Amino acid sequence: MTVEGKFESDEEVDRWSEENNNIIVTWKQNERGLEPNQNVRKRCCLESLKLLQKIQGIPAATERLKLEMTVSYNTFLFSLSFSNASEIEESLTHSLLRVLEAAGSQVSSSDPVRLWKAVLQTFGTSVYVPYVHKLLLIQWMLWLMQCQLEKVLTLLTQTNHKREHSAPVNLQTETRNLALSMEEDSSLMVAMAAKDLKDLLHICTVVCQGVEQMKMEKYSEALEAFQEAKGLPSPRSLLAQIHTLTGQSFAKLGQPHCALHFYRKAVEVDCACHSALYQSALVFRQLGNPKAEMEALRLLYSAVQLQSDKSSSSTSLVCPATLSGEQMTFISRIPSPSLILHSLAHTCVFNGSISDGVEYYLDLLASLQSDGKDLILTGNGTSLPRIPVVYLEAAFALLKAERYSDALVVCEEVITSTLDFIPERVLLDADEKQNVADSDVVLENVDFVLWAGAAHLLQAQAHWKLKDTKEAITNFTRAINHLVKVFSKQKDWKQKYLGNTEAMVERMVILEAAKGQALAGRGLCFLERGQLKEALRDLHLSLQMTPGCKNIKMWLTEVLWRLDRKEEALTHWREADRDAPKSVILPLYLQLWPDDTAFDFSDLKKKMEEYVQAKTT
Amino acid sequence: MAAERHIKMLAVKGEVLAFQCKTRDHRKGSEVSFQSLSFNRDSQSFSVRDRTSSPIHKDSSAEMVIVHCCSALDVQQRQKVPCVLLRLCKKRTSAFRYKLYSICTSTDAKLQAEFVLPYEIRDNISIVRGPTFIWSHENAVFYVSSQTAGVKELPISIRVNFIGELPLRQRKIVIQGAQNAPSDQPNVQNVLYFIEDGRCFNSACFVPDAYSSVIQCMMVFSAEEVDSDLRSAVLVATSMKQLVLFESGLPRDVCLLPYEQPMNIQIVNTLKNDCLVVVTFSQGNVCTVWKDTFQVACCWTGVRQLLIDDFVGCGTDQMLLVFESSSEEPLSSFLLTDLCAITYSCGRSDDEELNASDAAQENHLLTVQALESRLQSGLNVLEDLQRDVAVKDRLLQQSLVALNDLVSGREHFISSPQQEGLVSLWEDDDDDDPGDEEDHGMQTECAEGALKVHRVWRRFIGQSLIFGVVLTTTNTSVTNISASVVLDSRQSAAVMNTKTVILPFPASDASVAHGPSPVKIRRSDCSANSGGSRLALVAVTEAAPLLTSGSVRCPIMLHYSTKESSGSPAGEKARLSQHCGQISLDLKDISMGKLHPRLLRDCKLNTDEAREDLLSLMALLDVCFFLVECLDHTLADVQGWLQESLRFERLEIDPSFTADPTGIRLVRWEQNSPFQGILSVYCRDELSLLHFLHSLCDFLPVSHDIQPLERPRSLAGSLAQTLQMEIQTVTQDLCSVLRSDEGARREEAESHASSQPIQTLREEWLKERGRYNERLRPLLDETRYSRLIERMIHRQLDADEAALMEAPCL
Repeated sequence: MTVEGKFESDEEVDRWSEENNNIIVTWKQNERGLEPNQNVRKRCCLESLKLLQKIQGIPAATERLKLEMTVSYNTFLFSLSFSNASEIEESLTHSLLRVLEAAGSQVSSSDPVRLWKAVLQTFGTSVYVPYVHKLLLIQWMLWLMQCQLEKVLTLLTQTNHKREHSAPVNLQTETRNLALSMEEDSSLMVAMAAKDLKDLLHICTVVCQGVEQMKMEKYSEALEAFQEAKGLPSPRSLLAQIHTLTGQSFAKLGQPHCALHFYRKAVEVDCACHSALYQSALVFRQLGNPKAEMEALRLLYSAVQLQSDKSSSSTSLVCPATLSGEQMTFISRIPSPSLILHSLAHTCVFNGSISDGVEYYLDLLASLQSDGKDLILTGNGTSLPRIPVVYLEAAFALLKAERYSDALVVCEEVITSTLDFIPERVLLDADEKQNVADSDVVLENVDFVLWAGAAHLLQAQAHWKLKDTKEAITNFTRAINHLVKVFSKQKDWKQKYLGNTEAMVERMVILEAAKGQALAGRGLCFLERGQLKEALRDLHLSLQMTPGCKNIKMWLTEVLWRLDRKEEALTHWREADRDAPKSVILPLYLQLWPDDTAFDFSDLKKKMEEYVQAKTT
Repeated sequence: MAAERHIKMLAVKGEVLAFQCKTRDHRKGSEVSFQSLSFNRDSQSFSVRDRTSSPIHKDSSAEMVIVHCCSALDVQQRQKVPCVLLRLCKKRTSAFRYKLYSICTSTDAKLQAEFVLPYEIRDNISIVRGPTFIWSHENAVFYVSSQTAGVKELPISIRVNFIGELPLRQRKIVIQGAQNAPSDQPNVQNVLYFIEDGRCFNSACFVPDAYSSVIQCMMVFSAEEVDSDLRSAVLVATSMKQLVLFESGLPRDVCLLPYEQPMNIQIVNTLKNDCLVVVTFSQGNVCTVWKDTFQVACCWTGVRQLLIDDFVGCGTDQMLLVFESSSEEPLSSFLLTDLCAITYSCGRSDDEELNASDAAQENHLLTVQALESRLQSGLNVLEDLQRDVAVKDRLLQQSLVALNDLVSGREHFISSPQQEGLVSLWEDDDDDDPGDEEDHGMQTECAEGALKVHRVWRRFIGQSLIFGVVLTTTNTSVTNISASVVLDSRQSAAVMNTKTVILPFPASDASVAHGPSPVKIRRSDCSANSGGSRLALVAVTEAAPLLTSGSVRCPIMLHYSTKESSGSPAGEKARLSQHCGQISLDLKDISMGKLHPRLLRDCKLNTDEAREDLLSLMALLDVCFFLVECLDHTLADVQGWLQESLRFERLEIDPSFTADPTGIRLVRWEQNSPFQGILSVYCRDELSLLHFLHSLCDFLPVSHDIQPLERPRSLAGSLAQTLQMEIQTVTQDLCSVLRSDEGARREEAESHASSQPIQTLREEWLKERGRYNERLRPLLDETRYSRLIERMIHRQLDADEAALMEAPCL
């Protein structure tokens, strides 16, 4: 009967260590390649997990403790990209319980804070400290991912317990003074050196604090944190992110130029830092620098497109973005590509670079169509404006770019798609108590009417520009017919009544303006066709809708003059110069006559001046 | 009165053998009978072939319990027979009577063994070949069969983990467990004990000792005896909720089990050569695991019994899961499946159907992925082969054409390599080494100082004499400055060969122009330096010849070219020399170390001498530049490493330098950005450089990239910087080029303001017109213009150079 000795477990440790090292070598070789193979990563993760299961399949013992803790550390790091934090935390707790079991101490609770206290006390000065600290880093990471900074502080304070207790407990100083034992054991390879992980956690913790401060609107304190973070070793993308956050804090503190400086720095550091580009576009908008804003948006759009072309796989084992918690991702989020494109197109058209704007609008329409979204039903999930509005803006841009037939087609799209939704009439009754859902429905109906009316209005404009006055008059009439479907019981609907929300008032102002424009347009068409009476009626009505509009008054003068009602003409002529038009903020697609230079009134001017002179002399 | 029924089932030859124990009444006693049920595909249920059940044993007085039933080999009949163990317990007696029956025919049972025990058998009950009945009780193992006369006890004391049969030739029945060692040995030993010959093996060839404490049940998948060594594949379910596969005692694979307390492990040979491992747990839980992937396939709860056999008659095994049900019928609720093709369910609602786990689906996905990638790689190989074939075809065709030409006597044109898509293996580059401009003799003509000399110093390091001259160029067109020591003038006026370096003094900016003597400097283009910034000209020469000649005072000559003599063509510049002082050398001073730079001993020095020391060192030492880069992370703290690990010290006079206090070595670390830095290492020899680099590479993390630079990029200026400079040159210097004598004219105009107002006004008007004309078409100062053009060319050259340096990186 031959029974061999007790070297069994040592053999096991050796074998498992080798297995662990092989996994790490495979992983590192894969990572060294230009494009790490995701399958290899997953296999490494699974193999490491299997190994850990094997090790944890037998009772914990001190001779296997270093191995077990190292394999746990590696497995947790690997599984970061394949499983969620709570799963990892669960297995970490299990590992800690086993570590304590090996040391022979029993802890009944599975509360991580208590467990860590016990573990740190048990292994205070033993040879296992470097391994315990590796697991501690994992715990730190998990809590950081969940933004549980108080727990991190408790953990780190426990680690630093050798120091005097009197000093005030502060996460920043604790992280700075953290004395972890970081020795590596060459016989037990790790996926990421503990020192590197610690550095990464350190900077991420500081950044996370800064972001917390930003959330509490303490921007100066946030800047301090970011300042400290900049001095720490950091991955490129994170450094760019810190610069961006610094910029954002400056922007909030009302120092847009400092903000721009830091956004530029961020892009210099990492050209893939899109949030910096986006933020700088916002600052430029705030500063009223449309050229720079357009440039920033254009860069951002092309950058976003470039990135979406190549499938982005996170290259590092531990991604700093996930570490710094959700808040940072929230803060540094950039809008969707289509929203960026819309901002770009809108800014271009708004600031007069029509041809660029048209191209961007057409791109946007193409992308909207390829997404296969329904024109009407796609709700306002993103902050992109409702799709008909985008179509109308595109039509407006095409009109401005003198591509009239294209504008007609785009408008037709809006008209056909809204056709089924337009109610017979919309009655706004402010006295009736409406609940919120009702008022939403009413608002939606008003929107449908407005869109259809505006589409006809734009079509009429296009026809007019194409010198087809008949068709123009038809469309102006259709626009008017649509727009008058909404009416209010109250005379003075601009007053805020119960249930008469701000949005409703705004819609009514826009509707009124659209009506005015449609009437004026039809009036001009009649004028062109020589139907002076009709022209006079429409222009009068239009002036009622939009009192104080100089263009309309001038046209009215012209019509009256031609009707040989010279005195009235003179009155209007004088009024036209006196009244400054009331400024009403209109949506882009209704800004057809943005200023007084839209028409040439020099002939009229001459006539009137002559008449005035003749009268006086 | 409803009969209390105990039913145990056993799978035999594709049928279910159901043993029933009826306890009718206390007076009538109880009866054990059996009947067989077979699966009917049409009705999809089990039906009894013979309505009447055959009784095995009837006892009117004792209470009967079916303890265990299973199939085992009957050694006499040489076939597997179902066996059943009954326990009879008479009232008012404390003894238990056990009867082991085997079922011979469909109606008959044969009593194999009968024995009486004073205790109830509970642990490790198993019936193995023989049929032999084995059990353990308080670390003792007993067995009984028809061959043994009564109950036998094993000679060793063992805590049993497993009792079973191994597919070995000689020894078959084996017991695995921990042997209670004699009291002098503290450890328990895990052994394999063979009942047939009483031999004992270390069970580590089965399962490692470390697992012995956690084993709950075990199954031997295969075993083979090779050279008195056991090769085995063993499945073990542990108390750690794991199913572990051991191959010859090594844990090969692990699967986490969803339930606790495993009781039994069985194997199902399904279709597709895939085996299923079925683990039965207490409380009616069953878990199946694919043997290949070792992942959980399916789980069930509420299972009363699990039977494995070919019930359907298709040639492979199926699982029959008999669920708990309230029905009287033995097989009212069951699931018959092999998890592949066959699934029959009865008495169960649909939603309790197979809940194939995610892992299984993921397996399928992975399989598809693997197949796809294999297909892809196959396609690639095919494409490669097709390409090869095409190339070969073309080659053949060309050879044919050549042969044809040869035969018909035509001249054959070989197509150019480019046409063929070939690349020559060596570059046929033309030798255009720019030969160094030779210094054609030196005129020792003494010109009146274009250079103003402030100070001369000397240092002595190792074998080298270093002397420096601090000077200011008074004239911007001075180029090609060099210095030389003239040996004893009484004998042949030999001029020592020197290596000259020109550095700005004080050494603040690092624009070192290194090169062989004479050094070309382009100082003239730097407007800041054109005035009178100090330069240090440092020359290095061998000291020994000077000292052997015995002369202690040597004059120093400066040589330079000037472009003032504009008559000569551009290539031939006048070479002028200028005496600028002398240095005294004394062997005694040298041996006392007076001339040794003190800076190396005390880095805190901040004097002119220290500055001279630094310049001397920079001139003497060979410099290598290294670009340290890290793409995705900020650089490691190189400066900190220099100071902390290598114990280098920062120089007080120029903090960008770090000196090695133990040797003559200077290191300069400049970080251009958080991700890039340039390390300049000033070393005397290559060995110390290698030494330094070795420790540097040890220190730098893997992500860092280090590469040597021809010259530091920062000195040439980055592309952006040089372009900026170019623009600055244009914008700033352009105004200076315009001839501006407006001030003079204005004065002129004022002085003439006297008589004849119209005349004056007219003149003034003419002048004014002329001036405006000039303003519109300004005149340029010729010399200034040419200087500007020259500057521009230099700037553009710099920019081009920088662009070329950048180019490979792009």
